[in-house]
Amino acid sequence: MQGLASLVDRMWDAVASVKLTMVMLLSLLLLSIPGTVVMQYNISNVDPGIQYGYGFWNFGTQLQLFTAYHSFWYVGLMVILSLNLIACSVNRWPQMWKLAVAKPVKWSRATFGVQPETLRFHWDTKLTKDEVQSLVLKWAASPFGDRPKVLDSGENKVQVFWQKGRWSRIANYLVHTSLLVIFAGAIVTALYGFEGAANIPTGGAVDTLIVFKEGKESGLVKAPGGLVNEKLLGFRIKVKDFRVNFYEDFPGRPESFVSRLQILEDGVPMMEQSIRVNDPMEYKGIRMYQASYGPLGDSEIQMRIVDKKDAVRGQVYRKIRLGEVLPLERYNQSVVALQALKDVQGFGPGVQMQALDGDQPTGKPFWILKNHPDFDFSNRTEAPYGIVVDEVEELYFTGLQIGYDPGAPIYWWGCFGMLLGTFYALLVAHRKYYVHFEDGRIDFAGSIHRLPFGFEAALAKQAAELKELTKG
Amino acid sequence: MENLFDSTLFALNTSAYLYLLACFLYIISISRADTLKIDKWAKRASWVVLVGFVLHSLGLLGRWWIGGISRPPWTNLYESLIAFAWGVVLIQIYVQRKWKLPLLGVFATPLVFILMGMSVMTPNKEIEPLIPALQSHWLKIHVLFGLVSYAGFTVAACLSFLYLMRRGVTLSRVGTGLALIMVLNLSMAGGYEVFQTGDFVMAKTTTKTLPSGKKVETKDTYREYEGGPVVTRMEKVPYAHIPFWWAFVSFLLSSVVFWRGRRKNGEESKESLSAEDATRLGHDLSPLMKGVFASGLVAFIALLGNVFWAKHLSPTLSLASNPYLVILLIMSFFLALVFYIIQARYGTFLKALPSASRIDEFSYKNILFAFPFQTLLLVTGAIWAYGAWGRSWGWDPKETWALITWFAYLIYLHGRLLMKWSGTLLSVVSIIGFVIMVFAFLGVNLVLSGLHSYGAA
Repeated sequence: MQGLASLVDRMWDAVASVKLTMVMLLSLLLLSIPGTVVMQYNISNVDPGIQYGYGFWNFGTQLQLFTAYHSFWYVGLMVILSLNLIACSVNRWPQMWKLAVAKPVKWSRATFGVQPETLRFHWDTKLTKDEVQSLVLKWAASPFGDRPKVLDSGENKVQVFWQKGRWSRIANYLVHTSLLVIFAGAIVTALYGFEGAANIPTGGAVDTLIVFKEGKESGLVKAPGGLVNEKLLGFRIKVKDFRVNFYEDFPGRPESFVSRLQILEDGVPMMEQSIRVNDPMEYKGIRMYQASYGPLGDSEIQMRIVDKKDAVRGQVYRKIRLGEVLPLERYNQSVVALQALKDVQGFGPGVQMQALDGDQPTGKPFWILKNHPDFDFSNRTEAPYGIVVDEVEELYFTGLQIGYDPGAPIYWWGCFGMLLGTFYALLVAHRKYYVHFEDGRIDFAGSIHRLPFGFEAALAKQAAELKELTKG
Repeated sequence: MENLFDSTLFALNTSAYLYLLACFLYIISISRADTLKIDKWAKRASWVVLVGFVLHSLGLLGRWWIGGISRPPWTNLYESLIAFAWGVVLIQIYVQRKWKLPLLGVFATPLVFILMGMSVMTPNKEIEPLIPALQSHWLKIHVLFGLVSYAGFTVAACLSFLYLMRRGVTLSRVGTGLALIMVLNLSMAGGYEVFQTGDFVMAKTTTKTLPSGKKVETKDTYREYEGGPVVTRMEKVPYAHIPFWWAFVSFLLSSVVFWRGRRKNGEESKESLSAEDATRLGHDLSPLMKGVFASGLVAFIALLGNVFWAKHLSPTLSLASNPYLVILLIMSFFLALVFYIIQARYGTFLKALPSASRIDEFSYKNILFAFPFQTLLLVTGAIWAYGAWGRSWGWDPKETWALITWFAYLIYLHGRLLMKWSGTLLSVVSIIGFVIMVFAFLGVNLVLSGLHSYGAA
């Protein structure tokens, strides 16, 4: 039984060793690198198998190199680091806590300022004991730090003590606990959350998502890669409108893209909102982000069919898409738009069209130029009508990212705690001050538990101030 | 507006040249034989840095003014370089004055000049309006925290380097490291091509029209297929392979010669060096070491000449399309020059520095200041990403490298507070952390691809 106890002890010591912490940190640093160099499985990346060829793909898959940050070795490191962190914290707690809440030690003049990090000043005063006591208690009171205390009082003798920043002794506990809270939030998100994308054309709607990673949620369809799946949302997202605006002076540089989204459940509209980059919307905890956009390969064309004999009254306005057949009953013909270009050989935007007789093309395809409305009239002299294009609008799909992140509130609290703790632990130190009055002489001493930078100068300044105050 | 824009360009370029001037004044400073003169010249250099800093600040403010309040001057590669350099100079000036350490500039100012030199050579200096992803208040906050922490780490690394020298590292050891750095830099300058074909190549130059209609000289790139990677057309620089291989072999040889003839660091444990100790440390280089290193340096000058006059050797080559290559070579040359001067005057240089434990303290204090801001950088980045991309942490290379930098300084802090590591080991960790940080800041954008790619040229 004793053998078992000592084994447990030794294991505990191994897990609680600071050396293990250093090894873990170094390993984390090094093992974070491969995932930034080797391509990761991701919805927007080419498959690593295509990128690297079979040999390396096989090797990498065995080692989980293409899912580096979810791999057994990376997660394993995190787990060991967490255990080590908990063990170290538990081990050191009693000592740290004692230092933070320790009762101040009463000093005698003989031991005053003998510790190496303590600085000491002294001067003579004409004040009485009571005057010194009340002056110092008032002077040392500060909104930060503990209320000054009288440690020792006798006839013609008084000792006042105060301290600042004592919680910085255990601020590292706030940092480390917060780190574990962040891990907990990340685990909740990894288990119960999902993250996906959907490309939707204007007017279109979706109820399924392509998800990046598997969650515990049901409704997953396995894809051959094993990582890209489809997921049912439980509601439909309809894109009522989508617009891209470009900067006027910087062609091709988008200023904003905005989607007007409508949420439908069983065909019933539940919610409607516009989203843009940096400004998402939320429905039932699922957040929808504007991520990207792309050309749909289609355009909407506003045109007029103008009768050559009666140009004033014989104008017909039409709006068509590419590939759409527009019947012209009056001329026993129809036309179809084949393609739209932003620039036709330097003549500006244009649409290529084809006249049809029934189902069969008749004549050659012809161009309608937006900036040269009379071109069609002189180009196709035999046709009884001419076409004028007023507007060509390229159609886009909107790229949405849709995510459910149940761990977020947990890890945001963790981040907040970690920031608070980091600033407190690194930039604040535990400072102790003593003022000792005895027989017309004042001793002033201060100590700091670490970070002695600037403390010396600050204490000298305080001493000068106090000396001025208590000279009498 | 056009006038103001030109003035900001002028101010920023001038500040870069002033930093270069300061570099040379620092070189004069460390080549002086007595500590008083070292101090005097270093102070002159510091004044030049201060004037450069004023122009630098005006240039940045001018860009902010033109771009409007919502567009801070750190939204593309050009501006990031300038803003980062600005942060480094700010902290450098503060540290130099507060802790009376004018010699910090010997290492800090060349770094600043490299950043500013890179910015001068970046082709696109336009103030372009923000793309939607950057239209957020987090742009100001997140990047500002990044600048503060990265500048703090940079100055800390310079101080760590000073610390190592002050502790009496023998020059044969410094020389081994420096020769290896030169080999590494030459390899980067030469690229894959130099090892495949033996020829020294540079990016071919072409003229590109910016969205604003301005024409700039830049490297000639193309895509082999839709969605494929962007490839740069390369061209052989006539004759350049001769000095390249000469320098490469010389520095490789000199690293071996330095390492084989290294002296023991008997002085490492001493807090303050005596004048004799310091002089002895400076004279531990044998004529063979000096000779091989000098041979590399001569070859290097020849290579620089080749690169600078490439335009006259081939009409389709220019410096403008190879900014990083040029800066890399200048930086390496400068490092070697500083080493050459320091080896002659090592004793006086060391005597002009404060005690080693003071320098260690300064470096530690910089890291204590920078680390919480690095944490803020990560957290604000996560908040921004949560609002813009829909996830708080996505293991994008930029995010991951910022985390790796954070790990490096975590190791520093735990090594210091828990393990009570020696100042020498901590300084090495601080310098490694700095190298990682530089990669996180620039390397990721220039080498790896990812969501932060709008930071690239």
